[in-house]
Amino acid sequence: MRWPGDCGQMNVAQRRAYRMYLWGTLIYVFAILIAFYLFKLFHSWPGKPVFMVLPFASVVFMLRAMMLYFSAADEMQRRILSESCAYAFVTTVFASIVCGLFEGTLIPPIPWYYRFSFMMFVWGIAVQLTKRRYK
Amino acid sequence: MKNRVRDLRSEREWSQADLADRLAVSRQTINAIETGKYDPSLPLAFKIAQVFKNRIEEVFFPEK
Repeated sequence: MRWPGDCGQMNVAQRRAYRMYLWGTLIYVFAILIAFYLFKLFHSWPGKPVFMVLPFASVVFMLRAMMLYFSAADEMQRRILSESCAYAFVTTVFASIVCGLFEGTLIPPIPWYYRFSFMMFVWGIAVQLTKRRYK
Repeated sequence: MKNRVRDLRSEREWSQADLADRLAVSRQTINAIETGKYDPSLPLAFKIAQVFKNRIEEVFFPEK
């Protein structure tokens, strides 16, 4: 089974890092839900924005997983990952510009945080397409 | 850039996975180098030449 972002045959260290990243994502989702719950529960407390910082702990975990994944990748895999990142970035920039042009029309504006999800989605596709170039 | 990686590997009856293990890279990278879709970095090219006990110019050469 090929996961999004899988740049080819993964070695043991990469698989471990990938699992770590997936766990980080799962923890992130739960941390966000808990943060929202605490934010509502203590809505009158002035220090409530502190709860919204909670998910960052898992982001550090995910970044560590990404570092391990990159350092375990060989040079061609790194090239695939960085090339696809560039494609995803450019695609997201142009998609954002197009979305900006539609602002003020009948089409409802797309929240900015969806753009990051879109970038991740495009990156996943770009990795698979870039990989084909080297097959 | 052209290379003789496939020939040298076949002479030694190594699979792509065997060579990949010796070089600590993925099998896909070996396949991409052999098919000419990917040109390895200088350190990897030297490592490949070293594995085959050849000089780098005997393994990699420019396309005419």
